[in-house]
Amino acid sequence: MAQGNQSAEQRRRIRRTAILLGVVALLIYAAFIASGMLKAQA
Amino acid sequence: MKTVKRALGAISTAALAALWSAPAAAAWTLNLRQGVTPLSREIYHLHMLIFWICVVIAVAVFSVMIYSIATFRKSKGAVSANFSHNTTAEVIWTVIPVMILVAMAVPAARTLVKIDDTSGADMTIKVTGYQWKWQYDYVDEGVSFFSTLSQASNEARQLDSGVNVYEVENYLLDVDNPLVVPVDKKVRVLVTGADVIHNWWVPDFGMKKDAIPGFINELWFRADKVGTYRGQCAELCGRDHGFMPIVVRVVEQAEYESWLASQKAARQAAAAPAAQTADQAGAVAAPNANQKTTVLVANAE
Amino acid sequence: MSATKTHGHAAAHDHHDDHGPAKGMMRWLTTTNHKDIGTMYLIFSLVMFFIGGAMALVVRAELFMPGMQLVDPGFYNTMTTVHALIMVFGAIMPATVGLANWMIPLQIGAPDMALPRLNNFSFWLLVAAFSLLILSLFVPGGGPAAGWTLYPPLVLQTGDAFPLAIFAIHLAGASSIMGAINIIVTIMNLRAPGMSLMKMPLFVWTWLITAYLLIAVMPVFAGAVTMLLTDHFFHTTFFAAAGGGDPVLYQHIFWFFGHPEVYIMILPAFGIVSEIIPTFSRKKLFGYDAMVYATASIAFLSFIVWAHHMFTVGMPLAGEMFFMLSTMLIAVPTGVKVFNWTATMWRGSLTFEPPMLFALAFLFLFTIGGFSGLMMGIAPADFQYHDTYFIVAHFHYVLVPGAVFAIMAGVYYWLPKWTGHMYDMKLANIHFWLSAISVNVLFFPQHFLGLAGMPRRIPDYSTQFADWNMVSSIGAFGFGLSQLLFVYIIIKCARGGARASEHVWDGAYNHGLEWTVPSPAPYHTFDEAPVVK
Repeated sequence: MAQGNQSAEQRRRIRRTAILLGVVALLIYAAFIASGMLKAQA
Repeated sequence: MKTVKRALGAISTAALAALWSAPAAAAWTLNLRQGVTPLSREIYHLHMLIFWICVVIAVAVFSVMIYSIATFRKSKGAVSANFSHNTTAEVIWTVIPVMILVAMAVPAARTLVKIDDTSGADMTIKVTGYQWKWQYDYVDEGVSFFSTLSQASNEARQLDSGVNVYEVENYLLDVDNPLVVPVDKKVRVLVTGADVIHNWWVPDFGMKKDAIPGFINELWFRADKVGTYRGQCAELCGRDHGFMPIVVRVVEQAEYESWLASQKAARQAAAAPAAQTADQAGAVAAPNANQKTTVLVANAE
Repeated sequence: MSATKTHGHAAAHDHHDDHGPAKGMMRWLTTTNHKDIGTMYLIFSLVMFFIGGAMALVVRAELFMPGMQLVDPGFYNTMTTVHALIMVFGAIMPATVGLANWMIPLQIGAPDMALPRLNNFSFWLLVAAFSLLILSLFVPGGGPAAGWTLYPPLVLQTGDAFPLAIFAIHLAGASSIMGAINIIVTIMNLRAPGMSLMKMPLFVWTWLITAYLLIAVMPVFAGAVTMLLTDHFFHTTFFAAAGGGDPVLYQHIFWFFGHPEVYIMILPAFGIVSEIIPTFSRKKLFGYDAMVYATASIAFLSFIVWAHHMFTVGMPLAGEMFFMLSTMLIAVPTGVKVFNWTATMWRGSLTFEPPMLFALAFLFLFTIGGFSGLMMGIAPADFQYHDTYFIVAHFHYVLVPGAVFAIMAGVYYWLPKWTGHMYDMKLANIHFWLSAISVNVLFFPQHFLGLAGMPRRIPDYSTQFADWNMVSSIGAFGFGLSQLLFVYIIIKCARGGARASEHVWDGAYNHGLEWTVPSPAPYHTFDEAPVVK
């Protein structure tokens, strides 16, 4: 109902930003595990 | 009326603390101790410096708040002003705090540098944290032993022990074998852990360091007063984290030397028959390196 | 052309759907309405507050006198551990998310959050997470008992509770990240026309910044506990020296998350207080721009101070020095905020309804917590404070009369908007005074205990610590019991009470879009975006 008055453009931007932030979160997760693996090898 | 209540409400316990000062002062302790080393005293003075600066700032800020609460009340007819900026004020109360922080940082940094300098030590002791006891190793003397919570304390602390803990001397701060060091000597302590992270802390020395398995940390102290000083493990290490205290006896050089000599003698005497006992124990029980070590050390005592 | 058609079609649907929300259980399971979800978060957090609080009372009961009277030391460690996990992740964070859900759309003039279904999922994930955590208390070996910080190697000695606790943390973390994404895209995309960023209410600003912090650091925590999991079950040695790893690495990773985490808990509280003090001073917030920049500075600095939690770990001198200086620096923007709130009150026209009482108590008592924090930042002095009750006193001051009081202030501020009724002011006043006094009786003596040499996380103590412990425990029971009054007041208000007007508070005119809608706020608000001047 609330989304009824959002434009397609708005919905596109919202979806894009949400996916971007989600990917950033996953990348940070992976980066820290990778840092642990590198440190363990050193 | 409400103002008075408010002010009291905000600092009520500080007033309460003052009321309790006279008898049994040791029980209602309020402040850090000065300790018995030059560094512990330096830390104490640093602590007091920062504390007083905080008090002055607090009094200033809280006074303005309390004044506002008391004076600018709608019930007293106060009409609100219109301002919502004052660039000068904002600059001042950004710059002045920075200056105060710099003033604090200088002595703090100096002390930190001194703490870090472990060179020129007169002796070295290796401390290993176990679940749940300490092992002390005089690395240059070949003397090593475990230091465990005293039996009296250990019995009293059991659930429903029925023992009145006030009747146990130095309850939870007493051990079977204290660390013994000479007074006025720079003692370098190597700290490590055997199983999980522990932490060796003696408040009177102002020094505390994590005991981490697989790594060796360093601290140093120079006690300038003879006496017995008590500390506790300061890193959660399992069920009996609260029951592995640290006791250090600081004694005159002569007493230290004779204590050391008797330790060495006891080890030598124990080494001969203990070797036999260990063989027997090894034959009877399942061969277990840890068990053998414990048997040897126990006999050395 | 088809866009117009859809628009008209949607408008027609709006009228149809005004028969209100679904009925019964299904409403709450499937709702995508930000008001419903906000309510669920708030009720969830209140329930968790009592569960975590009960655990704290077990702790304080054992500490009432020296000697072991009540529990096994291992169980005691579980109580301290799970108390903290519940309070941090189950009480404070969900409460601030609940307030965000209710108020952000209202304050920016949006009809709802940008991702309503994700919103629902975020909430129910939390219920799953805490079901697992509480379940872990009942498996062989007992619940996690290594402290909420979960340091290895100790944490790897946890029994069957270990995977449950780790999984609970993953679920709660995912919930937070999804909520944060939702908040950012909502604020960045759905503000009413005319509401530029620098015109947003400060509560919205603090949540925007908090949401970025959440996305930056919750994955770090997830990484850390994943590595704990693989160390325990899959023979990796990230944190085991014997295998070439390092237990201290865990601490670095944990606190890289952990320090921003505490700001995640306090920034929304700052936002709430920044809404309340101006309303009850009948004066605009002093230095709005500075407040925004100060919040952003705090958030930025929060990333470079983490090792002040690790001053005794054996860091090189340069590290200790850096973290001491960066930690001291964070006092500056925090001080700016305290000064600005005070300046807002200066030459205002103050009244002292319950929201203002709690906000003022926050101002005093959070500042005290801030001072002890500054003391702890002085690394050499911290060698005496670290892992003692001085630390426990500090963080409880900033979290309880800090964050929790701000949350209560927010509830007392917005409850009439949510329910349409004024609550019993007299009872709320009593709740305030009982809480404000008992919280100090509970936590102030803990400063003394820490300075006297009492370590933290111990179930029993030497007799010289007995007196202050007894005082603190009395305060604990006083504080805990006082919160029952809070529940009673809320339930009584939800059921009925004097009708609340649109603006509710005398000083709330022109103070935010939430005061332009009826009380209670209708199920759907701002279907048409308001115009902000």
